[in-house]
Amino acid sequence: MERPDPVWDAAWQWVMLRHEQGFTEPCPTELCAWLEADSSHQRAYDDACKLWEALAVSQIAKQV
Amino acid sequence: MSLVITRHLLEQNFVEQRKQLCAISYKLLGNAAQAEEVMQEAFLRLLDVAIGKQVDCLQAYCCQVVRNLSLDNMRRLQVEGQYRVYTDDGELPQTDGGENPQRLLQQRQLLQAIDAAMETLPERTRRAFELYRIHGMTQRDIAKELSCSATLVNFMLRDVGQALAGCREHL
Repeated sequence: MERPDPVWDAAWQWVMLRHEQGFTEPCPTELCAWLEADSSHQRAYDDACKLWEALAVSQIAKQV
Repeated sequence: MSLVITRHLLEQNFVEQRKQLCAISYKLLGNAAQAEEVMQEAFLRLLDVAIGKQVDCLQAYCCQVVRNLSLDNMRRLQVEGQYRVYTDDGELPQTDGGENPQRLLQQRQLLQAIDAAMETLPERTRRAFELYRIHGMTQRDIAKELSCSATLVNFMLRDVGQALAGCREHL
């Protein structure tokens, strides 16, 4: 297990929220504010979104 | 401070930001033609749903729409099996041509890293995540299914994120 990184943890939770809302819904203003607060937030969120997609590929591949 | 999106603002912003938006889509999709399609789709979508909305930052809003549509596009490609690069016999799958071999290799390494990270997690955590991510179940329903509290489910889903943090280097 990696050492907990609060920015990564927050990014991951945002992606979870977006997953629950449906990704095509407009970005919540709180998320936009968080993304703009620091470039590391945007990087973490981008990475979390990409991993989120790759995880689906990984899991679906096992089921096929 | 928030602003109300008008058609004029949207068009102006989209033209000014076009290069940046296209880069976001291209980075996710790795395909210039698909990125262009997403750009057109994003503009139509924005015209359709964004006019009259209040946002704090129009640029961030447009970025998010392009990102979301790109992710949707990726999802479609997955369904069509074009994105699947990890097969049991280890062969690279057929693609629609023009795929960069280096990118396919990176994707395969990423999926292997994800598998290895997931293996470090307890079976129940992996099951919770599968129900959440693939089956679209709510955290509350997963709690019922696994006979545990919704709080524990939330912790398990966050554990997956922490376990995958090391996979970022493969992106």
